[in-house]
Amino acid sequence: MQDLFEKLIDKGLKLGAEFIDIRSEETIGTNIKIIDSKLKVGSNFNNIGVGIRAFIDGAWGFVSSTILEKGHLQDKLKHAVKMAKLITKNSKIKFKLKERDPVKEKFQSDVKIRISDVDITEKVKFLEEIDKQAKSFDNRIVNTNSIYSDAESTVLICNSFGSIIEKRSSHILCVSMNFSKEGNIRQRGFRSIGESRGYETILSEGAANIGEESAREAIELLSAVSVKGGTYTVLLDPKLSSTFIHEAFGHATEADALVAGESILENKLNKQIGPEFLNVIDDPTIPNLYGSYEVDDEGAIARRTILIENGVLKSYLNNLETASRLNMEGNNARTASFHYYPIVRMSNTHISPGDWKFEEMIENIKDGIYAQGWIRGYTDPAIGTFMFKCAKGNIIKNGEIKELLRDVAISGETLYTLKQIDAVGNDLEFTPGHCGKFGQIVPVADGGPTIRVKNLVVGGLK
Amino acid sequence: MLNDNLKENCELIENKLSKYHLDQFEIYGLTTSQVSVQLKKGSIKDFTEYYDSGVGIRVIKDKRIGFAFSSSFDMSKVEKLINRVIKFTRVGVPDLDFQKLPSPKKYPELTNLIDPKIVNLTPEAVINYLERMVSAANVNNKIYSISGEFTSDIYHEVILNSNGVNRETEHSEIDIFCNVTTKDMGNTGSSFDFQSVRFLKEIEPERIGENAANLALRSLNSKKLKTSSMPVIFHPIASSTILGSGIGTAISAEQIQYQQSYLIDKLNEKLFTMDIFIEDNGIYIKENNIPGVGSSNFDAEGFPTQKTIIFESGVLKNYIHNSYTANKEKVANTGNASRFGYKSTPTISITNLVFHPGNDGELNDLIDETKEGIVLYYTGDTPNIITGDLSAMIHTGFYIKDGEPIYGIKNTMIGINMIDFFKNIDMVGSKIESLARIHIPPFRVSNVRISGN
Repeated sequence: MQDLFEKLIDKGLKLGAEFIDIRSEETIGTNIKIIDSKLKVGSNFNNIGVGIRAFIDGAWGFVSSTILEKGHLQDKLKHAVKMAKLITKNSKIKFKLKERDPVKEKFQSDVKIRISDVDITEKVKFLEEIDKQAKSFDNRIVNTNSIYSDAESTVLICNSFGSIIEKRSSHILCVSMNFSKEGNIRQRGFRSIGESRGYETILSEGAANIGEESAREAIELLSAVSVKGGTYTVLLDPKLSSTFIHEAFGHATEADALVAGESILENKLNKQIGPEFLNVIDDPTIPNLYGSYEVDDEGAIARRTILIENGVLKSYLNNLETASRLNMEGNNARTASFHYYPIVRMSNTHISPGDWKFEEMIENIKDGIYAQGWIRGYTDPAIGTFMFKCAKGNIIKNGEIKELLRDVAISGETLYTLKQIDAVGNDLEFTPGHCGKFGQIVPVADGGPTIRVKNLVVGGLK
Repeated sequence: MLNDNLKENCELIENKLSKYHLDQFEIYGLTTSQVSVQLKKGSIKDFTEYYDSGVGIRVIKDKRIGFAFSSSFDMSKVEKLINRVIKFTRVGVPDLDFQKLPSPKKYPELTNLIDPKIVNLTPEAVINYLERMVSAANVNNKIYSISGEFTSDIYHEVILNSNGVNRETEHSEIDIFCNVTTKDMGNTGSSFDFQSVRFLKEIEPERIGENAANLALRSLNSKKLKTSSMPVIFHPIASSTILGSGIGTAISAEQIQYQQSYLIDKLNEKLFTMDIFIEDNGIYIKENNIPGVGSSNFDAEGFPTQKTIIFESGVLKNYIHNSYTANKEKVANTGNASRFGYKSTPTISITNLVFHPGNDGELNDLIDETKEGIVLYYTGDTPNIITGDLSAMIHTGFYIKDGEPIYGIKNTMIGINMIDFFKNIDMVGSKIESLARIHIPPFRVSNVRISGN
């Protein structure tokens, strides 16, 4: 395959392309879903294909296919170059790519037990145990959902800088989501564990009780009440603070939004955007987290990026295109599969821990909300607004945690909210998840400690 | 037709599967050919072409179900996959509620599911659509950035099963999207509009560009509202987001059977105060004689599509089913099996959720009739389907005073439970707007909780 790709790259350059890259991928994996103790989905898959990209003076032509025949790929290459020519003729955006040193290396996830070496019987047995924990936790648990997924990928990246990279990666995720019912009230509990490693994740202590933990949350929420809408001082737990920093802030640091004129962080580099004790980092090099990688999908070696240092915006995240346009380093290109071209993405984005203890953060709050976990959320990096549905919350009254709340939602403006952070806790946690952008879903981990935010809008029905 | 050998490849797999001693099996083949051109900062930017052909296979033995999918039709790879997936029919607790896959039936005979012109659509023509959209959006110097995308898809679907279902179809979908960012004296506004249709002649790039620009300009200098309660008028885009999920997902028999819907035990109850009519119509043909984006002759299991009444005079009449949920409950299948491509097992979704129009005129007539309230154009939020609670950020919305939208709203949320939403609808517009699979008029809902200052 490598020889064919090198020949295709030569051909593309002869046809007039300034840069060509080709990514092939073969992924095999398993998905298992047990609902109400029954095996609802037991699936195996293979996903094989190629993406070819041609660049000419600011324009990309990208073509993907699931057919790997030589003649077909030659046609696809010609088409990619032809389209790049057509686009550049019609485009006002012109720039050249910044030449990079070639990388010729093989990368491999740190795997102790290969997921393809584990029989599906064992995977099903593990998931049945998770399901049983939830089902037997309380008879008010009326619906259990236990989901397991794994994937092993081999990706080959060749480009006209001379890079030839093979990377083998392994991802594994297990989710327990359960629903409780009492009278007319129905609630949900959720736990997950996910890492960029092998089956050892499932054998770890962190995975052992997620069914029970998720069921406990669903039962606790039955006694929760609706929140009264308004503006509060809010404590965000690590799961929610990490979602906030990823969604509301992280997406605005992605330089493709910046060059499109759709980021609130335009012209904010080296300016104070948060309190002096706030530090935010994107780091794909932390071993084994769900968003970790050794090399990005354009063949750049992964590195840690300090986004906010002592409250000052220090950097954006870049891919080859934005790094070339902004004259920066670019190591943050990722794709969901061979069907997509690499775009700027986060990896393991997190708020560095501070020195506040939880008790110290809560003691001066007279009338506030302790918002925890998240169900979903979204953000608009152009105007800098965000909204998150939290898994649950508590009223805080005179420094004490009070009634449990359901359907807590928080909303605000990112730049205003960053400045309203007045305490950062010492309890950093990472949570695995999937991030969607332009239809591409990639594994990430978000991290953060408990943070305290003043003047945050909390939505409610009362 | 796409020249993809999909039918032949699926038949080869059918031959292989028939040699295993399975109780039932199903082969779902799908080829997608997609062309897309992106727009960034008011300029044509990148071209992408996506060709994906693959197959999803369900195997059933002793009420245990295995599923495999492959993007390769290399038969040695497919055979290995089948051998692995058959292991799933030997492990775990069997699903005794599984009865059988659909059998062949009489099918509707919808035509015009594919635009013949889409096959010969040139990249130059796509660029022209986008340039027209940019020209329409670029109305003054407060327009800071225009981005967008034009995407055309051709789908070729084949469904074969061991009960004799043997269906094949081709259909098309075209999407155009425009996002506009505005800046003025340090303030930023942003909004968008889109179309999702089946035929090229339905695309209106000028209207989409103009609407997105107009809303983004009006969103400049937005203000936060005070916490209170007031009526909210839902533009069809906002109501399609909220009700597409708030009704569309909540009526899925899967959600109901798993006790994950606030509409459990609500059949035959009058939930709307007004006499609202809503149907799920898999054979819906729009006023322009072109089938809705969700229309087809059969669902994702090869069962015939149909029209199912969901609300009649405000009374909830039916849930929507695929073969599994219908067999489990011993009710009629409504032909609502759907899939996320060949990579997923069938689930349930609406085909076209069609609301009957009311008598209260256009959106502006609803605004005219409102002394104080909000007109909401867009929120990305959907209700919690379990509880029916909706807490939604106002992304694009305006404060109304004495029948006039006077300024944009920011940093403010609305909150209401869906049961109250239904009860509190007091005005329904007369004009239906088609937004992909949702065909809906504007609504006014009274007494919605507003969370702000």
